[in-house]
Amino acid sequence: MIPMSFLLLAWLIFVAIFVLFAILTIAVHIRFGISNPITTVSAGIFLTVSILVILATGIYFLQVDWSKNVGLFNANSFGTQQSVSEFEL
Amino acid sequence: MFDLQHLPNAVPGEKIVHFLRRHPITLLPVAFGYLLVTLIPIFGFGYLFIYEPNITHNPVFFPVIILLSSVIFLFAWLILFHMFMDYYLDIWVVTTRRILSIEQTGLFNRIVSELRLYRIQDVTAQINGFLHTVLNFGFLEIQTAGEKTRFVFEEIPRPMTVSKSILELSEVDRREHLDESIENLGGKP
Repeated sequence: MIPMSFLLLAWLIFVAIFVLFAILTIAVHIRFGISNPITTVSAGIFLTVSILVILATGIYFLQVDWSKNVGLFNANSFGTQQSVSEFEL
Repeated sequence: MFDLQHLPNAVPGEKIVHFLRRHPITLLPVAFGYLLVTLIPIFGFGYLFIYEPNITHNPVFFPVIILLSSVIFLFAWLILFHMFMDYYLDIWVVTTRRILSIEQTGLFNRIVSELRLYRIQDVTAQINGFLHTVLNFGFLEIQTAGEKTRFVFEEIPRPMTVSKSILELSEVDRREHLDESIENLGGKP
């Protein structure tokens, strides 16, 4: 059983890596791209969609109970510890 | 259109004749990728909400699905933007005095090469394959005197027209360069 908070931590690490690469990518795109609307619009679309996805996921995660555990290797026990014990009872 | 002031080491009196990128059709895999990345989550989550409501109401399984799919989406989005950037930042500029090749490979590799038109020895245009022939795009190789390295314009539109234009421009530039050299040596052109 893996605590769900570990998965949240892994997600945060992945998002941090994504943000780092996204900043570098946008910096290169703006610096070396020709100063015309396509450069600005493409960078804007990329940033807007990325921010929307991270925000939407973050807002959903605020409602999740991260104190539960995940059973990854046993399909029958995939779920909370409580639900497994209820099933056994 | 491209502004001359953005060109590195501008030569006085030069004018832009061709501003080239790869043919837009080469962006088709990127467009297809964007389509997949956008449609898969819409249809995937739509399917789950309609046909598998027990999964969407599971307090553990569904957050894990959201977590994984958001990470996969974000990195796919980043990779696709990199592919677009690779297309967008690779440019070839032909002016009345020189040829500039600007190629971006990855985030940290950028190659800017310059070639004076009077140094051009031969130009080869290549159109290979069905799609290249139908849409009239292909490769252009420029060979300079005494150098092994060649300038390669990759998958540019109308390579035959561009090669003809480059040969004409190089002829004009060669004549002007010869006149300048004779003037510098003190003779009459």
